[in-house]
Amino acid sequence: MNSSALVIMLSVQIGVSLCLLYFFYRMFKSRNNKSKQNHSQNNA
Amino acid sequence: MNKKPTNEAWGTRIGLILAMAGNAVGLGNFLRFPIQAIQNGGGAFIIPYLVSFLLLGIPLMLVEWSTGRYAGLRGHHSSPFVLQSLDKRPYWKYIGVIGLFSNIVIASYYCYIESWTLSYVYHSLIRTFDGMTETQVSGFFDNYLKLSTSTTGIPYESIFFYILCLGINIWILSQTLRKGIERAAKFFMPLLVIFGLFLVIRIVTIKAGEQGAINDGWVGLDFLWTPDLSSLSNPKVWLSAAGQIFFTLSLGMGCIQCYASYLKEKDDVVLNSMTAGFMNEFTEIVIGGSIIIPLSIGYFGIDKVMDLSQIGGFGLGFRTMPYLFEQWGDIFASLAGIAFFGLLFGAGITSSLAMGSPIVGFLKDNFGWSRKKGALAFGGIILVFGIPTVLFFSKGVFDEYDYWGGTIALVLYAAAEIILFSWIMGVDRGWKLIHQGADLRMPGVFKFILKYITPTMLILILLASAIKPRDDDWSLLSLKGWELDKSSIIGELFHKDIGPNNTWFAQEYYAEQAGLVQGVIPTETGNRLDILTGNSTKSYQLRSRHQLMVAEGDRVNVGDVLYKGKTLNTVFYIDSARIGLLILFLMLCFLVWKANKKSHNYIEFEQFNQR
Repeated sequence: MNSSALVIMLSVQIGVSLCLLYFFYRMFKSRNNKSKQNHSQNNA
Repeated sequence: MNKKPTNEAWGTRIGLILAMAGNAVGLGNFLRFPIQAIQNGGGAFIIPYLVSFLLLGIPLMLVEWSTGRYAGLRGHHSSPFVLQSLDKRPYWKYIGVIGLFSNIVIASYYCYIESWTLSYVYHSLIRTFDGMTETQVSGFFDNYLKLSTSTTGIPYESIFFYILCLGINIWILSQTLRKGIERAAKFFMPLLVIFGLFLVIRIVTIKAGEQGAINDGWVGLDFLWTPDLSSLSNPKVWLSAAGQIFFTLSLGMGCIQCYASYLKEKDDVVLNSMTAGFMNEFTEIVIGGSIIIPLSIGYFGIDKVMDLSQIGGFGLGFRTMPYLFEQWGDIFASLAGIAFFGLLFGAGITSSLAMGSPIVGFLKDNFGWSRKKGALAFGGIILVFGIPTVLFFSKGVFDEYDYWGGTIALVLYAAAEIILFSWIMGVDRGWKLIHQGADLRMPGVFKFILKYITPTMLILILLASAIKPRDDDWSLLSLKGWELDKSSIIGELFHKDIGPNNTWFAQEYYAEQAGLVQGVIPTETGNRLDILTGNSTKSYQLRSRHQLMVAEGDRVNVGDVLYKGKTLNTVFYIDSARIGLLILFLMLCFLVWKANKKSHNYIEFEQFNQR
């Protein structure tokens, strides 16, 4: 496969996939934070 | 005009994101994107594409998500009253009618295409394409569109699948948000990704010389992604990229606003919209870009695929894919057919449900209709406006709907909403609205983009669509004037290139292209006149009342009389479609006026009671 085509294809595909994974990670992180907050509020 | 908010809300965050992604992921992700890429510079196309995503896609997503939530908290779930809730001037609700209008128009023809995919899943399952040649598979699609032909024993097969598809849509829409749309998205979206990844793995592992393949699967990917950097100086490439971003993210339709209107006050908008948007990009770039082009090139080679791409992604998808899958042997052919057309059906139905939601929301909010009644009404309207696209598909009705309702209306609505958001409501207030309850903050530069770049880009797109030069050749632009393309707004309005048959009714039918008369072939519905024009054959269907004026072997020029007798020209169908669309728009305006009046009466009544 042509090297420039390969570089463009992989960088775009990996870039988009990583962004999506990062947003999922942030979603789960914020869910955990919110559940911790709720937990501490309930305890208080 | 604040109303009591409805109790309906999304059940889970992942359900919301899958529904929003399902709204965006449509047939275009798999059939339009790869064709756009190979026609606009290959790998270089990704540069304007990503620039458009950043400057047009992300800002408009943020606007639609945040304004949808804002209006939903005030009890509004449809575009006229979403816009009205942001600014009290009465004309906004009539501008918002464009959102309802485009949803109805697009759904009218989209459900028809969706029904093709459902039918092809069925045909893949019963192995209809087994042993067919490439020409036979292509002919099968032509026959499918000719309503009188049945391939399964079911009479009027395409109408049957259309009604079935519409029925499934109505049934899902009539359920509550959680039990209907959310559940459908949770089922179809993961299935779509699984089907897509299965096909991608199978296609990239194609080996030249095996099972009739002439190229490795990688050859197609290489062709698709090899950059032609010179294309970047062509405005056509940039406009195509902006158009693709618009369609792929379902912007300017009011669907995103409708879904977002079921969010709660403290629900996040930024992270959710980014996740849904990138999920769409994943299915488009990673999956959509790795199916039809690599597979076609694997079996047909680059030259033939470039020729086939002229008929567009839909032609390539339905005319050639079943034949190519057949090369993989009985079991794999069936599995691949079910996976590919099942994937398209999943992508299609999650989008058409999103188109129905604003209509159901509008009827529910303003006329107190139940979801079931609203969904049935949506189905009825779609049937009335959709049947002409089924019956007169070849007469240009489908294209008219797609042009006015599926292209121009979207850009108009998006331009209106961004001006309202960034300039009339004010970008500072809008920025706060976007970040209310946000789990992620957008970089500050997006405030500038929202205020200046996105509105400018949209106005430029509108302007460019109005004055597009012939064949999209922007080097023709000159101060002395230039010839307009037939697909420019002005060209479309004035029927540019309609040809010699430019009246609704006529007593003579003229040749639209020069060529050689090949012969007259008797068919079930009359005679068919075939004329060889260059490399292709143009066919004319004659009725018994028509008197043929040419004979086999005659050379005809544009404007020569082919036959005499009462004729209804294509322009009649095109103008009828336009009149139908205009009536639809006016009817929606009337309904919005009526709803607004009703709401005022209700508020006055409430205020009187409170006194």
